[in-house]
Amino acid sequence: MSSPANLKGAVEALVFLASEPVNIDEMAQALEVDPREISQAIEELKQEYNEDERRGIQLDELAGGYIFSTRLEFGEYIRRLHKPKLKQRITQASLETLAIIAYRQPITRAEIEDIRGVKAEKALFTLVKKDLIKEVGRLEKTGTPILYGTTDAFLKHFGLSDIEQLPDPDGLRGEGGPDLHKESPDEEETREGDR
Amino acid sequence: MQYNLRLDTFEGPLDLLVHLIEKNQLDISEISLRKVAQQYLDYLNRMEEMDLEVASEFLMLAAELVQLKTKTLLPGGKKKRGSPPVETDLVKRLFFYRRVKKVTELLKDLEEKRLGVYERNSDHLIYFLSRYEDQEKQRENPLEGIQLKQVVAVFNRARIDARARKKREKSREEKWQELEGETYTITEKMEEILDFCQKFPRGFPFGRIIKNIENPQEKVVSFLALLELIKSKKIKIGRGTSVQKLIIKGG
Repeated sequence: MSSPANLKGAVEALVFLASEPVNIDEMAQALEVDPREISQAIEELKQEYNEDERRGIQLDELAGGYIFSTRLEFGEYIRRLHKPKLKQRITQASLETLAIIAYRQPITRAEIEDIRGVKAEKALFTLVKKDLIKEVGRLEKTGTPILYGTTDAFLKHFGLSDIEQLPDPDGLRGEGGPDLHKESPDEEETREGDR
Repeated sequence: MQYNLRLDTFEGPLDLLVHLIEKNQLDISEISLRKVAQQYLDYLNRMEEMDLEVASEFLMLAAELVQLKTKTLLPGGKKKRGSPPVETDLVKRLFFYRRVKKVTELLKDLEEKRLGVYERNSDHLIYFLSRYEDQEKQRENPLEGIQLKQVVAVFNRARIDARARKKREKSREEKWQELEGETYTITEKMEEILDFCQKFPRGFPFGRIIKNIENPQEKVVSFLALLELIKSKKIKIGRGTSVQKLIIKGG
């Protein structure tokens, strides 16, 4: 097998058939070319599709890969003809919890509850079930609480290529955090005892 | 002042506080908190009037607010003029919470924009892919090298296993016993005893009441009824001819 003469066409074909985002390395492997050439082809395709408003489809960078999707303005017609399974909105309570996780990950349940001022157990359960968040590790302290982070499904749901793309006008993500997570005195004690 | 607010429109006590502060066109600060503290408490009262269960988180924050207010009432509680305002923990939390609310709205916008965008229908593709794979598979014989008696043996094994499992499930069920709810009440038994007293004005042994009772619970309830009657002095109790016998008489 060899590399295709028409690389851009080949990349277009690979992305066209994909029902999950395909990433550059996967395509580079299949086409036996340097990943940089794939990136180049993707950029050209992006221009052709995304900057031409007469097109009905667009090339999206989603969860670290590429996929063709329909333009927002045609959503209504697609629903009429294809009756796709409706995507569900996330409820307000879950969305707030999800926002905290997205911007402050990795984060424990206790920290989330501190910020929201209410219990987060139910919201976390729903979000895990919907595969929008997952356990990404454990915090090394008493009880080794679960640390939560977002998933690829999260990125897809919100149309993001990676977490850095989240709009963050307030600088909520980078910040070292207010001393919000001040521990209650008795918790402090257990910590001392651990040492 | 009227608050026509529904409980479930607030995500929690911090949400309610931020709402009150913004409604009063105040900035987040300790002074604003003191100003809206009463409104916060009024809101909780209204929730209780409407028979809504006030979540403990709301009450905890109410306590914090009351504490804030009392500080200003106590002598020496007020800070000297000119000294920089100290940010309390609650003020910090409110600031942070408001920022979280802001990005939650951003996420909501992103979601809304993406909801109407469709990618290829994967179910459809998977269907065709699986058909293609089926055709490939048909060329091989999935039962190559396997004898009929092996298949029969596997089938018999599965049948035996299924039977054993059913048996196990059955025996497990038998270990369970249904418990009856409370069927005897003390009031009922008290009346029964008083009936006995009328029937036997010269008294009768307690044994007569419980003689025909098999259910231990009923026995206990009868005894409790007896104690209740003695306490309320509706019956008298005395020793009979034999030491072990208690004689009951109407009071």
